Amino acid sequence: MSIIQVSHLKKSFGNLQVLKDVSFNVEKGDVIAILGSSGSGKSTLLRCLIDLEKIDDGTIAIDGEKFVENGKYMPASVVKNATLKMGMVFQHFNLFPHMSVIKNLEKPVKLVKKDININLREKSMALLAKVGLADKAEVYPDSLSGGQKQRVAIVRALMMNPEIMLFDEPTSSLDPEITKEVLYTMKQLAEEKMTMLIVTHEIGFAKEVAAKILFMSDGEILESGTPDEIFNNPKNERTKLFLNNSY
Amino acid sequence: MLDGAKITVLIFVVVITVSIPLGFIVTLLGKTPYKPVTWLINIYITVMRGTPLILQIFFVYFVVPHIPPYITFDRINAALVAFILNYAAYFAEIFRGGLLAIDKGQSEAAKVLGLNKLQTYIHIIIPQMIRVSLPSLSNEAITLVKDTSLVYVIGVAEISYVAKTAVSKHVSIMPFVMAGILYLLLILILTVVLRLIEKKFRYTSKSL
Repeated sequence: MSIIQVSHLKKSFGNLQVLKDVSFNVEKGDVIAILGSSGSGKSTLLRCLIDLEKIDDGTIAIDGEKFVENGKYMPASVVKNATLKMGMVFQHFNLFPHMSVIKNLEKPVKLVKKDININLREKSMALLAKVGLADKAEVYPDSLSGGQKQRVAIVRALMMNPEIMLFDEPTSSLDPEITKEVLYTMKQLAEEKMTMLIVTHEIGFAKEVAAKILFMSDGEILESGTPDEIFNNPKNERTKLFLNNSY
Repeated sequence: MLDGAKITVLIFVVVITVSIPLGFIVTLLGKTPYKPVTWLINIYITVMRGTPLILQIFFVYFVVPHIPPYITFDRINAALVAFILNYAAYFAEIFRGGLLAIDKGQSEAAKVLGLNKLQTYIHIIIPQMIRVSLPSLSNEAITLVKDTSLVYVIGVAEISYVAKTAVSKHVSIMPFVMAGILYLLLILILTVVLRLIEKKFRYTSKSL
C-alpha cells in the first residue's frame, strides 16, 4: 500500500484555482522531487498534505489513514494523527529564535509526545552530530548560518520520528556554496530510505537523488516518471521548455 | 513629600500589574472572529486613545456615580480605574503590534511539529511577542510614572499635589525642584529595572 495517496485534490485561493484535480501515490522509501515553475502549485500541494492549507475537494490518505475524503475533513484528532507522521522543512527554516538549538529540538518533543524518552538528550545530540552541528547545541539560531539553520530545522523535524519528510524549497534562500551542505544532509536521509517529497529548483539534485519526478504546471501534474524519463525523454512540450530554460 | 512618593509608586505598581495582563486580554479579544466583540474592542481603544486621560479621570470620579449602576469610587480608586482602562488600551495596541511582527512561519512550524494552539501561544508566540513589545512597553511605563501626577486634579495626594501644597504653604519653589528630583529618581530606578528585563528576553548568543 502506498504511504501517501492523493486523489482528485482541488484547491483554490479565492477565484484562483491553484490545484486542479491532482492525483498521485508515493511508495514507502521513495524520494520524490516536485519540479515546476513558480506558481505551479508545488508548495501548496505540500502544504495541503500536512494540513497547513485546507483543500476544497479530493482525498488524502497517509499510511492508509484518510484524513480528508472527498473534501470532507475527519475529526481533528484523526487529522493530527495522520499529519504527525510527516515532518516539514520550510524555505525560511522557521526555527524558534527565542530558544537555543537544543531547546528547538527538544521542546516540541516534550510538549507533544506523551511518553518522553529519557534519552532525549542522547537522541538530539546524536542527530546534531550527524549533521555536523554538535558544537552548536547551546547557541541561539541568530548565530547560525543559513545552511546551519536549515540542518537544525531538518533535525528538529526528525526528532518527532516522522515516516515522511516534506521539504518546501529547502535551499531556495541559501547561496550555492551553502546549498551543498543541506543537500548532503538530505542525501543522507534518502540513503536511509526516508520517504521524502521535495519541492525544489535544484534540478541536478533531483536528478541524482530522486526516484521519481513530478513535473507540475498550472496546478496539474503534467508529467511524472523516473529522472531518466523526465530529463531525457520528456513527453510534454511544457516540460521540455522548462527543462531547457533551467539548464 | 515622601508620602506623596508612596502614592505615586502605589498607583504605578497597581496600574502596571493590572493593565498589562488586561491589555493582553484586550488584544486577544480583538482577534476573535466574533464581530460584535471586535467592534466593542475597537470602540474602547478609540475612546481611550482619543480622549485626554484627565477627562477620563474626571469621568470616572464625577460622572460614573450618577449613571447606572451608580458606582461610587473614592479618589484613589477612581484614579486607578481611569488609569488602568487608559493604559490597558495602549498596552493592547503595543501587543497587537508585537503579534503582527511575528512571522506566520512560527505558528506553521509549531503546527507541523504537533503543538496545539494553546501550546503554540504559550511557548512560541507570547515569548516572542514580549520581546518585540518590550521597548514600547518600557516607554509607556516611563510615561505612566509622570502621568500619575494627573491624579492631583481629583485631590489625590501624590508627589505633585504635595509639592503644590508645600509651595503655597512655605512660599518657596523648592518643593517643585524636589518633586522633579523625585520623579527623576523613580524613573532612573525604573529604567535600570526595564533594562534588566530586556536583557533577560534578548535571545542571542552574541554579546551585545
